[in-house]
Amino acid sequence: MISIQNVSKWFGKFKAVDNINIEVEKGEIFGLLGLNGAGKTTTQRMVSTVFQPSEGNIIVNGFDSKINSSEVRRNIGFLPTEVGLYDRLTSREVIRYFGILNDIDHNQIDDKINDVLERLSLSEYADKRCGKLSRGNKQKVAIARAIIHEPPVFIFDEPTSGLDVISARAVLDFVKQCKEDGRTILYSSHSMYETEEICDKIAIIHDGRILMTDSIKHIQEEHGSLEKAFIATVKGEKSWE
Amino acid sequence: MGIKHIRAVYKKEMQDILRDRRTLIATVVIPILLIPIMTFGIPLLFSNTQQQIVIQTQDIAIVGGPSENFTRLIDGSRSLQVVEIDKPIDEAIRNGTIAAGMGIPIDFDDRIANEQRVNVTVYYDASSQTSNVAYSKIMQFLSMYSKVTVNERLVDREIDPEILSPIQVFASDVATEEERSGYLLSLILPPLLAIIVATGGMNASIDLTVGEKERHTLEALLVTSAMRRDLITGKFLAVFSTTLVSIAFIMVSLTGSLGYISTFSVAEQQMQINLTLQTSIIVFSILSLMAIMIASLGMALASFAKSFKEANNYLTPMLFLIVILSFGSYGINIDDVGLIPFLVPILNVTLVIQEVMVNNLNVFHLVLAVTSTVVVSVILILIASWIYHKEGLLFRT
Repeated sequence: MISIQNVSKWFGKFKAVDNINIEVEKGEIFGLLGLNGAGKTTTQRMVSTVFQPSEGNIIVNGFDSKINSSEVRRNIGFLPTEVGLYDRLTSREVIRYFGILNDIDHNQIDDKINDVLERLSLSEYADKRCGKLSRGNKQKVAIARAIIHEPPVFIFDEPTSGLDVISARAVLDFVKQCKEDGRTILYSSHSMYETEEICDKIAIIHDGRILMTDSIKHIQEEHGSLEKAFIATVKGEKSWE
Repeated sequence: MGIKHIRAVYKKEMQDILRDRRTLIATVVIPILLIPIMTFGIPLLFSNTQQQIVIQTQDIAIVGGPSENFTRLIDGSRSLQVVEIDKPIDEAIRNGTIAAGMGIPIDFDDRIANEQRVNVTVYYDASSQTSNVAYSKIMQFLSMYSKVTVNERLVDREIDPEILSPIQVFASDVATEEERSGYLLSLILPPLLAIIVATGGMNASIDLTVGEKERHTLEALLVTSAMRRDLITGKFLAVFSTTLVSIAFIMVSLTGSLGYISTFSVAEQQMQINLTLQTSIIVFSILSLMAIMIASLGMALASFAKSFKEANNYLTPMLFLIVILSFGSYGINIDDVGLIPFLVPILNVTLVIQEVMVNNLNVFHLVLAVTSTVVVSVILILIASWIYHKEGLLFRT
């Protein structure tokens, strides 16, 4: 579903991502784990076509991000780290705006907005201006905005960052629900616990390089926990590369 | 899908702008308040201040030889009054005790009586408006005094004084009332109109471009199915519409102000103001074209910036440049101007509006100004669009 092949990204002389390879199967939640500045966001931005890879290829649902970026965008829903909303617009207006920009049919858009508002328990805040919403509800609107067009692939960049426990739980439950609905998810986080809970596979990324790729199940069998594996890998005590 | 996306971006941006008090103030409130102040308040204030000084009687001093006859004549003029001073004349003028002064010789009366030349020194402060008015009054008085004295001497010799005035001049102004009033208006209004339009457009362009970065909405927007070209076009149209609304308010406010004060005098010139439908349409159109250019400029610069603060850093010098170009028309005589000024953006707009206001529009000048403005606008739109495609510029850190 997502194939990242020998991808590197340069910003001037700085190499943010160094020859990475990732394969994410359909219906899988794939976690990108790493410290701040490791290259997680840059990788996700490349998959979502915000950035073009300097080297290598990214294929999403059969479409090459360099050749057919608009088709790639049609197939993904992207939730950036920062919850950016238009404070003077209501939740419904924001979701509608992104729905139209993602080519949802005019006749279907109201039903889809109501569906997504209901799924995210946002109905009562639908006509409130975004500037007046709590952080948790803002994050839900940002998710609704990203998935309104029901793409097969979701890219979530640290979606629980800055949320309180209850809001973070709601987001995690929603991500699990998306997997059950058959979505493919590329999920980045630096929280070991949530990654362990929801991801099927992970890649540990450090200084732009992937140090390890494995299934959560196998990591737990080998090391007891993801946290131990992560610390060992990043500190260079053990590498599976 | 392009049109659909452009329409969606446009609609959303207009919705956002209409709910933004800051942009509404810059677009609607400022033009409504500022135009009456510009067209009515400032000239009236200037006119009243000047007139009041002229009407008032200024105190002056005479140093040198006292001449009762001369002093009596000055006091009799009612516009000047001779007073005594107990300090040097230049110091008295500088500290405002007197407005101006005269130095006359001790034997003033004798020399006049003996038909000898008399040297008079006039003291005044060129940096003081009151002193300048007193200086003018003194010069006028001395001229009259000199003329009367010569006449008396000629009459004593049984010579007709008219022999000294073989030519009598009568000035006849061929300018129409519209042209005369338009001339004064054309000096004041075009640069200020240009600046108001520029300010309004700049505010909206910052909010719509760098605002996306600052609100962290840009990434989500770029990942939609909409082409970046469509996003920038929708935003550009929104900025342009906002500026058009601003111009419409300016024109309504201008027409209203000028209609309300059909005549008033400025610097002793009676000003008959007349803004016809035709001139209004031309002024509106040329300002709209300038609005396109300003919107493009604002978007190109603001797209490059990382934050509102950085955008303001770029746009503030740009506003200075706009002010300089707007007021550049002050140094140009539109009756004798070449073609080059009509190729210079903003300056050409103020010059064309000047021509319209003095009822002397040169169509070729208009075509040059329109062409130049459109070409610059297209280049700036392309730059803004290019920046939206350059990830290195769009996500500068």
